[in-house]
Amino acid sequence: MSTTHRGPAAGSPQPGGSPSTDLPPNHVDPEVLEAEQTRWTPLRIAVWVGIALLGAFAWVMIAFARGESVNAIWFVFAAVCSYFIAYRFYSKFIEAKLTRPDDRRATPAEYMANGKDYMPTDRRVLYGHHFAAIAGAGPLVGPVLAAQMGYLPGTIWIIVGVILAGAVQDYLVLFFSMRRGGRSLGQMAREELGTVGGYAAIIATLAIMIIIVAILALVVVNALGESPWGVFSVGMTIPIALFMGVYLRYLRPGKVMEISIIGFILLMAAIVAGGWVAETELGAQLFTLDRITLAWCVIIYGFIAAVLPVWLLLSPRDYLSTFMKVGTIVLLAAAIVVVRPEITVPAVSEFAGRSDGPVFTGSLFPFLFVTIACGALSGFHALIASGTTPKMIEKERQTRFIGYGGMLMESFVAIMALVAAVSIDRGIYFAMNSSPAVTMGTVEGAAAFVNSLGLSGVHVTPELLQGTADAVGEESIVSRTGGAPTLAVGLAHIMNQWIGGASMMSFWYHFAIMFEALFILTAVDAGTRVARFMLTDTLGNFIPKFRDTDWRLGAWLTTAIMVAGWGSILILGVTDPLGGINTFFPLFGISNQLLAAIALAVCLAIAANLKRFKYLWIIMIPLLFDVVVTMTGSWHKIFSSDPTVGYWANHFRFKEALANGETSLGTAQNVEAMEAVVRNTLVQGTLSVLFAVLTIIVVTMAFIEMVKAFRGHQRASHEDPAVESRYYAPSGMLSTPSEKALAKEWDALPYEQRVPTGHGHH
Amino acid sequence: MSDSRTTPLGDLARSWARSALRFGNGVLGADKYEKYLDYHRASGQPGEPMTEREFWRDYQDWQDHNPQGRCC
Repeated sequence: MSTTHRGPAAGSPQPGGSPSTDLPPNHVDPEVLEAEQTRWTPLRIAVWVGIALLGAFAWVMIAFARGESVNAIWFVFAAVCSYFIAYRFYSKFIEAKLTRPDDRRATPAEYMANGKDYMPTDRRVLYGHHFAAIAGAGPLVGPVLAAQMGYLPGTIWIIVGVILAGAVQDYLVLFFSMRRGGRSLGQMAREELGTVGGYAAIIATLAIMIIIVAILALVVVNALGESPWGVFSVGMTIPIALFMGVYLRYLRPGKVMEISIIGFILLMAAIVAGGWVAETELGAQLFTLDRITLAWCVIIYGFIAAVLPVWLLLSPRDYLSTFMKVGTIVLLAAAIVVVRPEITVPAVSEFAGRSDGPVFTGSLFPFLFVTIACGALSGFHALIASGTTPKMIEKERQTRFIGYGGMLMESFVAIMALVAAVSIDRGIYFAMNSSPAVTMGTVEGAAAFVNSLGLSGVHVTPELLQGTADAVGEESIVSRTGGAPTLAVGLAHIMNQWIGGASMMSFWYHFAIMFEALFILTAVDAGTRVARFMLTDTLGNFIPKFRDTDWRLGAWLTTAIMVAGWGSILILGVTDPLGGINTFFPLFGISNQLLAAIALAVCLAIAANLKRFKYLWIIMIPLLFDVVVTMTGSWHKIFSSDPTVGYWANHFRFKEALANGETSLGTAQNVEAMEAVVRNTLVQGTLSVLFAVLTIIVVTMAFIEMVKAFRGHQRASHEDPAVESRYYAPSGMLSTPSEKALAKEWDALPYEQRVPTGHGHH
Repeated sequence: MSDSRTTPLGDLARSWARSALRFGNGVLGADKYEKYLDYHRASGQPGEPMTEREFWRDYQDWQDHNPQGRCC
């Protein structure tokens, strides 16, 4: 009995050359697979009922139990059980109704195999690879800031958002890009939305990349400012990366694992040494840098890293960052399970119903949903899910595991970051995350300010704040805004209970700062480089010379433009009298979510042109929610008359005050600071308007496409022509018996027949 | 414990360690040269494949012109 079937069925792709009759079948019969994967056996029913009950119980514990505290383990169970159910049922539904993968079709990795970027990659390896590419500091920072409103709103949005929005976006973009030879989001937008929509999408993507890089850089600068230990150990990553680069280029090429382990050991040594250096007088003097100096360092670093050859700095740093990423996430998950911290923060805090929170301003709707972007719905992922990952997929059915499943993992990272943030004392949390304008940057000022907030159960003393700073080896923890230091304190708080005790607190704190800085600096230099290439590509349409990537002057010029773009916003953020991150972070979330709206709009147009009208709601739900959230957010930021929320309201308030000859207003103590506020709000307000307008254009074009398609005027498909596959690999994390049997048949072949070469295909 | 009990366990541990290493190498991209060799041999291209040193140099230079994004 054969569980697989041979030969193409009706409507299947036609083989390019002679059908490869000597090869085993290239897919498992979908009906057989269906039966194996979804047939309800008593054991399966029991397992899924068990998962559902455990998940439901965990949700009840975190949402309704009103005891003194709630254990962090329930967050893990609520999240993981929800992910399993969503993956098994909802993503399967999307696969069956909307994407309809066909394993008889060769993927770009097969028919365009070139031994470089088009390379079939084992699905579990690719899962790790894709995860390392999409996850960074974003899911670690957003949930920390959102904890201002209590843990429940953030938890619900992270879990429900990823299931219905974020993972759907990642999966669909990955699938549609794979069907198009791994084309980028910009190229897909141009093809599916026409010239206007396409250009709007490209400009929006460029602008959004600038703002995202700027604000990530701001997070790093805030974390390292006035911290000699942090500056030394993060600074050491540059010589370490250079050494790794030279090692891989000249000493032992290709020994990537070896040098990554060496790099990791050097990194740990740099963290430990940072503690010693910061204690010496010279070290403290040398590495205590104020935020403006640091911002300039990051800007100069960003420019140099983006123009240097990749092998010297960028690629070794990327190895290090990937190594740390996978390791730290596993470590953090293990620590939460082992330590199981008790959480005493209220589920819904006093600030959930107000719009004047000290961490970020604005009401829960929509600002919670933009503060947590990465982890729930992140448009930036669309840039990875199109372009990089689809060129490595072995079989079409694997897109669900990698696209949808990969994003679930990032969501889990966000949940862990939230747990770490809410496991620390609420008084410390607010002292760390309120802007220096209100805390005066002193422990006394911070204690007075936090106690004046009137939060239930919060009484913080200057001694507690100083004690925490001493424990983590920092001069001060007051107003260390940006989320990274708070996460580091939370992580140190959890980790030291598992490994090392109180004496290791300072190590764990700087370990956390180190990996966050590492992720962010990797995103900064890679982002600058990608944005530079996007710019040269666009400019190349008008001045063909820019297309030549070897043209040094062009490369320097376009890099300088991109660095000037994010660098100027970074400087504005660092010098902002209103606190910087508090006013700029919403812009980060809004722009990231607007990119998601663009990605979903492209998917909508594609699905409509495939005539999958009945199931367009799968895309409509996240798209409409996202558009409503970001447009309401932009509306508030542009039109709100409340100066703490609206950029323009604040702009005109300060302008008027200046015109009236006033010399101080609110937290801006002098005319210069007031002028800075006027300037910053102008930039923020203008960017808000620009993003909103571009997104409206793109989404409108997508809806026009949809209506046209509905009326029977579909665009011709831009999919690559179907090519019969001569390759096989199972689809999910685990393989079913018939998948295993077929994979075995293929493994028995000589490698010449099973390694795709891109030849013999069209 | 007797040898008959530890050996299969040891084998299992070794095979797990091997899989973990292979996974780690894959995620880092350390196995690119091996995959290139497979690709080169399977494709039947004329000429010898590049040496490890040549391959990585070629790959790094190619990376210079094909940047890959990293997310936030």
